[in-house]
Amino acid sequence: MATPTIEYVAEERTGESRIGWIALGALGVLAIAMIPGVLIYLLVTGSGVLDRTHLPTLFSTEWYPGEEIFGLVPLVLGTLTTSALGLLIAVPVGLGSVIFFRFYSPASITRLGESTLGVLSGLPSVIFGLFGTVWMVPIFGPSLLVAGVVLAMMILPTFAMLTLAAFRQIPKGTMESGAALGLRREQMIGRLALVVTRPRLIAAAGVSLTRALGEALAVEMVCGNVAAIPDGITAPVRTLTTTLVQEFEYATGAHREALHLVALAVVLLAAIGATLAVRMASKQVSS
Amino acid sequence: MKAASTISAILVFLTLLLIGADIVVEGAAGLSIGTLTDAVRDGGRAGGLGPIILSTVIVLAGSILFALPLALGGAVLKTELLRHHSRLARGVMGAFEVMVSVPSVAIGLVGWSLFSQWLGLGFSLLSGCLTMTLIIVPIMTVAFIGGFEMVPAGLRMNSLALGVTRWQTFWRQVVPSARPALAAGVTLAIGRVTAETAALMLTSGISTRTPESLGDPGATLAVHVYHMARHVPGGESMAYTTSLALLLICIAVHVALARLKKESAA
Amino acid sequence: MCLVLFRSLLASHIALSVCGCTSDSSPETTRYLVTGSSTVAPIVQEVSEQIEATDPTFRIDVQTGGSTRGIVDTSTGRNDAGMSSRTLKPDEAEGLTVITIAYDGIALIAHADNPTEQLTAAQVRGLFTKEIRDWNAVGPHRGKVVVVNKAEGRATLEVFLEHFGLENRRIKADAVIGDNAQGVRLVSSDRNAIGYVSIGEALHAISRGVSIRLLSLDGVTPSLESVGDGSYPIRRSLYVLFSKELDERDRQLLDHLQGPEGREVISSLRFIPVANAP
Repeated sequence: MATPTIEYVAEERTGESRIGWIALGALGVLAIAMIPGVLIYLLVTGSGVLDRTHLPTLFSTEWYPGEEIFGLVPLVLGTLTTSALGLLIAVPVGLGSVIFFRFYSPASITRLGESTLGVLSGLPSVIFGLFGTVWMVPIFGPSLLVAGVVLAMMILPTFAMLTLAAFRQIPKGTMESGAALGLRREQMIGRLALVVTRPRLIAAAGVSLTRALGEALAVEMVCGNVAAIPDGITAPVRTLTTTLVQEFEYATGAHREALHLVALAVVLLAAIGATLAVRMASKQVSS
Repeated sequence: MKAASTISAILVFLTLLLIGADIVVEGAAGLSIGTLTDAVRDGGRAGGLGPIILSTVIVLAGSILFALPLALGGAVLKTELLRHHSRLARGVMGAFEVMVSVPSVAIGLVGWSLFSQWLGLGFSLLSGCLTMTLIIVPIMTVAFIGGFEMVPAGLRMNSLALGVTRWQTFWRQVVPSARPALAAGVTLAIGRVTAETAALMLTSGISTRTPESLGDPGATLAVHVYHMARHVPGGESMAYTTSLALLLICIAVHVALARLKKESAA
Repeated sequence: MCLVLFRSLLASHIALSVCGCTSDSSPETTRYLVTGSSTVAPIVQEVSEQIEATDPTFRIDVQTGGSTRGIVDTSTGRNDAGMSSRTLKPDEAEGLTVITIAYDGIALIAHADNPTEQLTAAQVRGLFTKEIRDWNAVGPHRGKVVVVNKAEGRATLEVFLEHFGLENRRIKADAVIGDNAQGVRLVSSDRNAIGYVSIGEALHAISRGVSIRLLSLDGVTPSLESVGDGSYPIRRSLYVLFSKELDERDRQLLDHLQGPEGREVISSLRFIPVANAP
């Protein structure tokens, strides 16, 4: 009898394609390498500004590229405050509306609501920025408040759709048990539905947060773009992303390198947010 | 509870109503069938959107074509090539999930820095495509992985037991079975590219001339809206008209896809 | 089936990219890139469209990026021509042919409903540094001053700072904008706002009915005439830059810019063509 092992190793069976798997595997590795590649590229290009003269300025509260002072603090603060405000508005409203669609409204209104959310989620962010510029900026001035509201409008559809999907996937048995036990509707929602879907709600909030952290143009149109720590909700702010959008094309030399670090900062923030959300969501599931 | 949730729902409808009404009212004046095909005139303040729509389609097609093999590779890496549930496999999945959250502005900067400047592509559709590929590969990969993993294990095992090779099994059983997820991934990618503004403005540019090759610059619909609204004096009305066109196209695609989904499910 | 589809997609996209990279249609068509100041860009953009209408073999692409980028790109050969709205430093101008094609003023603008008509240089400094906080200190209007400043890296900012002897860190801005168009829009939406933009931009906006007004500086009203005859204090030149040797296409662009049609475009955008000024 021939030795099957040697045959198997020496040649492929017809129909198998080792080259094919290798090619796909190589593509996969390339796909994985892309984002670390991006991070490394940003770090390397921005490293020019990590020298003795500029490094301390990175931690200051002043951003004056003309004098080669690149304080990231007001930018990071701006990013965090606008995103936080956006979440603060979008999560309750989104959750509330989804509770309505899932538990209170007739089916036709629910369908209408879903379509509304679907269309809203497909709109480019500029449209929300335009809305803010025309209707809100004349009243409140370019400010943290308007930026937060615009962000909330943008992330609400995604958050709501993810939340609605989560509510839809609650095992029927859970809700039926609740009803059998005589719980009122409010209790079913509060003590059952919300508890069971909590991990996915957190994940949805995480996704929305990273979207808010990364938004640039819509925020740029309404936030005022002043690189300073805001002294109130109607004060102007600037975020990491709006700095990129406003200054990138026109920057040269050290300014340009510093902007690469700004980009690195926002990528890291978003990555941290995403990792935390994924971690928190899966932790809830296992507990 | 009921009151609060009802108010929230009303707010949601109100938002769409206000934004939609704003766009329709301001943009309808400039919209006609010609808008979709005519050339752009007067620096964008008049004329149609033909070249813009063409640029959008090219960037869309190009990025998806580039991203498809990469996303496929990434998904195959995780589901077929690495040992299931190994730490490496879970790490790969986690990596892709985190990559989805990378802000597109940062990718736009990298795209400009790397493709436009360093590789010398300048403002070009090709640079835009490559940049968008960076953005949509993680999204598509995550969707594809979901699809491949949901294929019933029995399907694979039966196929292999019958003597069909892993390669053939993959292409003839796994991929067709995962088709809804593959379609979902591509749909998400299409939505992402259509909505992307910042990254494309920095790489494929703001040109309103009809592009003749991938080396030409070209504004996409979303970029055009922003450019008209912010940088072109007197361009607001065109920004609204473009927004309206974009909105209508989005709705049309949304409806078409929903219909397709219904048909394939039936 | 999937495999066939996949392979054909792969093939077609390779084909697309190959023919895309080796672009350029016919051999006589020239692709010409102009980069630089966003103030000068509309002029060159309109002139390009005019040139292309009569000579389809000359295709000009205009990209903004700021005066500094325009200068650097021209020096390094990254473009075919550059645009600048600020004076070049001596080391920047080395190896370049710098042609002035127009003059522009930088005007202070306020909301149309703001009755204030004039400011002195000292008052402007005070308003922008917020040492003067209310409009009633400088005129009949009453309200907390809202300062609109330009973003770093813009030539307009540099000209403004230089004229008033200010450092950017002393300006207490309530909003920072990028382009002139944004500045106009913001000032027109806030009755207490003050900002500064290129006069061409401001006049163009006013002619379209935007609610802004020009403020006269040190007694001189900003207008095309006062900028043209030099009486308005903040005047800057708009330049087009070429590398030292002008080739045929450079000359074609320049001739058009300096010719009657070019000067018409410049005037219609509310700048002052060079030939009309001393």
